[in-house]
Amino acid sequence: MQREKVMEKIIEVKDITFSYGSKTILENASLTVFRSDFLAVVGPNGSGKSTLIKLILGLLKPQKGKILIFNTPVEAFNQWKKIGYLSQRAAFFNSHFPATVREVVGAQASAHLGFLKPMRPKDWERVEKSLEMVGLSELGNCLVGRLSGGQQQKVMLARILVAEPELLFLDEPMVGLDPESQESLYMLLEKLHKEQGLTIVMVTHDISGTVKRVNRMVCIHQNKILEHDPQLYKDKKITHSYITQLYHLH
Amino acid sequence: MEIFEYHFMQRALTAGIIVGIICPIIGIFLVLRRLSLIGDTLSHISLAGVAAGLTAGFNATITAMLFALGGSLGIEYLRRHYSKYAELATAITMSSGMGLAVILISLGRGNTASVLCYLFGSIASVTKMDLFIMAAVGLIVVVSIIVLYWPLFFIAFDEEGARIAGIPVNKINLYFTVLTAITVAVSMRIVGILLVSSLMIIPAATSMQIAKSFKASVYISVAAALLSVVSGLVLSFYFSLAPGGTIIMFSLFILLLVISFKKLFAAQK
Ligand SMILES: Nc1ncnc2c1ncn2[C@@H]1O[C@H](COP(=O)(O)OP(=O)(O)OP(=O)(O)O)[C@@H](O)[C@H]1O
Ligand SMILES: [Mg+2]
Repeated sequence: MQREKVMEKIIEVKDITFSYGSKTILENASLTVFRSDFLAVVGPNGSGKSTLIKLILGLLKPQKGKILIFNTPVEAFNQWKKIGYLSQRAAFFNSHFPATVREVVGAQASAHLGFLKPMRPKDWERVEKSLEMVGLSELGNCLVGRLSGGQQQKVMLARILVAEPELLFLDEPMVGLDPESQESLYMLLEKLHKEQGLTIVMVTHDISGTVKRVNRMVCIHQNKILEHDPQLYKDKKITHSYITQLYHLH
Repeated sequence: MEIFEYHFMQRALTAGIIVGIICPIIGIFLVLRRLSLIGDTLSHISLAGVAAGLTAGFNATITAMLFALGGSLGIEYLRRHYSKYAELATAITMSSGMGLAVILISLGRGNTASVLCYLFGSIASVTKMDLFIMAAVGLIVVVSIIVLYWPLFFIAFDEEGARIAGIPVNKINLYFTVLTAITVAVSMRIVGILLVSSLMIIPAATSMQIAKSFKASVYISVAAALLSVVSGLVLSFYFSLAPGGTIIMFSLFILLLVISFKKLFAAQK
């Protein structure tokens, strides 16, 4: 294919098999993600979407197969600054946790400066900028534990964006956001994708909202990663598949 | 004031100030990571170290520190084996420390009085050597916390995220446990083995009631601990009370005061 020749492969999942104990999640599954892809990962609850992300990030080890990110085996990969990961968790700050939104995002910025480097004023400016991107400028001095679940989700996003990553993994980022915030998050992601060529891998159950925006979609089905053309779903060309059934489309 | 004319009191207050700074800054991270039990565990191990030192005739602060360091490595080791049951690692280490301490105390006949000094804290017996060790440890702890402030804070609210952001989480955890160990070992001289962890936990709990940011909570917990230590030492001097107990009761008093004021303030709004 023309595309494979031209485009840089950012993630290569090659023939991996993974199981939790005796429960097989993926079997000889493969996936390639190219630079500037906006990829949706769909599939029923428990199919292994979060597991796939954790495998790619090296948080879990496959029993068989290879995973490369930025052309490096994930075990040897060390440029984590390039990667942003929003894991699938709802309210993660205990309501008594004594830290402001700004401090939480600042901690992330400081981590990406490199070990033991102090924060400079321009690093704090980056913190402000990412708070602004997710619409939290006003809440910088609030205690994170006092924010609502959706607001905390935005704090997580600001944390990820502050490092100016090249590759984003978002595990169900829309959960808990009101429709308006969902819309503005989609717009932010599209903007980052188009303007900065950010590569995005997003796990979601919101198929109809997603197919309008992504350029690729994979579904985890029966331990395999299957590719689907989002355009066909957007144009409602496909009326009968396990995806339309699962998500009650059309 | 009369109290400052005694050399032992000057030493005790200096030691108290060091302890009042390092205990809460370690404690706030322990509390936020839900590792409050570690302070207790390491103090039980330190007791074994004290008993060993007294029996063998070495400086007990140093042997306590060595034992606590060993214990902290033990906790880290066990924690990796029981990663989902971190409290088991602390419980196992605490039991081994206590068992060892009891055996060593029973071996060193006649030393019971000195062991009691360490159990409950004692201000009359702080030596120049103790003070020197405490100052060195205090400096190490304060500088380390300043340097590792952001990574430690990050690990406290999101360990997995910290790992992904490239922070050497395992190494920092290990180093932090070592800092905790040496802090416990030097602080027990003043507050006593049984109460060291309270001086780590209560000021942190106080600060979490009112702090409007993490930085503020660090400052507030240090302020609360310093106030408790100094007031506790002065009160114990004039009323001949056990210093450790007085310090802890004073810190509890501050906690209750803060909670009541908060309630009152909330009711008025
Ligand atoms: N740590 C674990 N140990 C054992 N089994 C696990 C573990 N984590 C997940 N599983 C199992 O693996 C399967 C896949 O889990 P995963 O979290 O990847 O699903 P998912 O596709 O992200 O689901 P959802 O849509 O609910 O988020 C599930 O059946 C789950 O029970
Ligand atoms: Mg999931």
